[in-house]
Amino acid sequence: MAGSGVVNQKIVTLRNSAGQALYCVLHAPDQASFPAPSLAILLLSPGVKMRVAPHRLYRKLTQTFLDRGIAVLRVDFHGLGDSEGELPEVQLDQLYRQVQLGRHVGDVAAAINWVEHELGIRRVLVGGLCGGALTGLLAAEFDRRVIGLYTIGIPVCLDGTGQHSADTMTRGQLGSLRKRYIAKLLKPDAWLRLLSLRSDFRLIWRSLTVASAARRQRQAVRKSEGLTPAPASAPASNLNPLFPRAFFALLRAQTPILLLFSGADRLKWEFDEKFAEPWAAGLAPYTAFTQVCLIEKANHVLSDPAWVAAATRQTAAWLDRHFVDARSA
Amino acid sequence: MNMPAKKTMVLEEAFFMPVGEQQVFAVLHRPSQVQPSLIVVLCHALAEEKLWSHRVYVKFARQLADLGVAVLRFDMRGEGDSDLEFEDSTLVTRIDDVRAAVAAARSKAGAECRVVLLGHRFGGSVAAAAAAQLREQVQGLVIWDPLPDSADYFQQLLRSNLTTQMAIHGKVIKTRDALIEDLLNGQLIVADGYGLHRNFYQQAVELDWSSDSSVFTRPVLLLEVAKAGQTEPSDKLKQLLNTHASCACEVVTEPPLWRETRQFHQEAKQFAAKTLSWLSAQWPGAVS
Repeated sequence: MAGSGVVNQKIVTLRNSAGQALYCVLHAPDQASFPAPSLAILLLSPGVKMRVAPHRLYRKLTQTFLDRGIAVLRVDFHGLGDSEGELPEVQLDQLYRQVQLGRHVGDVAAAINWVEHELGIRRVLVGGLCGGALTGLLAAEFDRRVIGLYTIGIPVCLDGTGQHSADTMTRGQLGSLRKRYIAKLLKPDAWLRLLSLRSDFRLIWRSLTVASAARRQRQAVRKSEGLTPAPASAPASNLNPLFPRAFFALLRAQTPILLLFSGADRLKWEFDEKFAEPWAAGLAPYTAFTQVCLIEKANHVLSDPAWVAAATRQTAAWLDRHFVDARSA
Repeated sequence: MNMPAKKTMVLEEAFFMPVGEQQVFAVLHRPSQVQPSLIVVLCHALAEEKLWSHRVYVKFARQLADLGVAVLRFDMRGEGDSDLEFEDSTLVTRIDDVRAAVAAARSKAGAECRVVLLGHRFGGSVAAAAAAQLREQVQGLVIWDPLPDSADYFQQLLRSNLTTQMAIHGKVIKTRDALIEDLLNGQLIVADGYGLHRNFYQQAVELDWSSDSSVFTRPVLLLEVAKAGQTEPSDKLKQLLNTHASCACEVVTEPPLWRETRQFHQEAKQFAAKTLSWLSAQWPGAVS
């Protein structure tokens, strides 16, 4: 196949447990170099941007996996992309919330089943960008065939909570806002806006009092259920309750996790402040299995080629570190 | 228009169709129990606009097939699951892809079927250019949100490059005019993650489909999205109405389903209803 940079692609139509057709595209590694791939990655639909991802990011990343003998299956979830099914939401944040609560976990299981039965590959990596990453995490929690989680900008919070944004912003976001508010003190337009009651007073107040709010939060410690370690501070009100449980389940199974984040994206702050910091003690024994990489200045979808190149380098290094043996096992 | 009751089963077939040495991803939707007499070939919007509006196209294709009309959707090369990198694709490759899609649609759905091209935004411009070339092989043309001025459209597209500059440098170091100058000097300019190349840009801005009378040798429906307070077609489209008896134009209210908003856009009700009504009027019996 000339010109695309991605070889051996095939359309796959599989069915989920509800009988809905899910449209996927399979890329096989070079037959001569890898006659019998033993490892596959499922790149899962991010948000509503279907199996190609924004600016075809998944296609751009595919070659990195193929070069290592890893087959790639790009998956459209039900109700999205070309797949069958209807989604009832009319607002994106409500749709994202349902994704974050595991709406498409069954579709991932169906795709892993297909990979196992049709390709004879019994071990897979799962993940992708944003909602695709989170769906991969939630699916991996209960599927022992998943031996690695690959994430770009994984969200730890729930969208569509209906809460005022000031209540759910991270300290990083609020600190950044505070600087902007202070800079505005010298701007007449900003004073006019303030005096005409058009400013968001709640947000201003919270950004200026973030430190004391954090102290209050630490006073209310709540223990998590089951085997998930207790956080050192109260979980954020909009933290996805499924996230810590699934994350620690993977770590207990010694599953390597790559966490790529973009420098200009709030998701890194959210991950740090709402998960990594409160659960620092619980995460400490598992540092060998988690790799956090920050792509400086990048936006959420890595729309600059340099950011894609950085993601590609980190992906390659992670694969080489953890899965060189697995692909031939 | 009263929507006919749902009555048919729809078959869907996803396939790669060859165009030269490359492959183009396509999906054929067709009714299972009736032989269609009409095929609509959907030509998607450009780049990220295609992805935001994708589900609207999918659902409209299924709706049409449910009403007895065959539909072929496809990804133009450089986009979606089709071959070529975006920066290697051009207007010419896009028009070639439409031509291949029309041939594939006829081959799969029936050579005697009438063919209507339907394009959204820049996809409408591509569809118009392809219709002009395909002459009597295309019996109708529908454009959702037509873009008569490609140069202005590409200026708007470059906005995202300015946003990226702000992220990297903290300020805009190259204006849109400077970016276009770089583009014309052979530099690749990235907008929304897509690399724009001089060849594509030049071909696109030189495309003046609305002045090409061969576009209007068949029935044409232009659905213009109302701007604030707009109730009548814009002057440019009024001019087309006055010049070409084959041309119909309506102003519709649709949200910007081609970009990120708070809504999850799965359908374009007015685009769909007006299009179905027009198809039924042009080819009675084709839409059951």
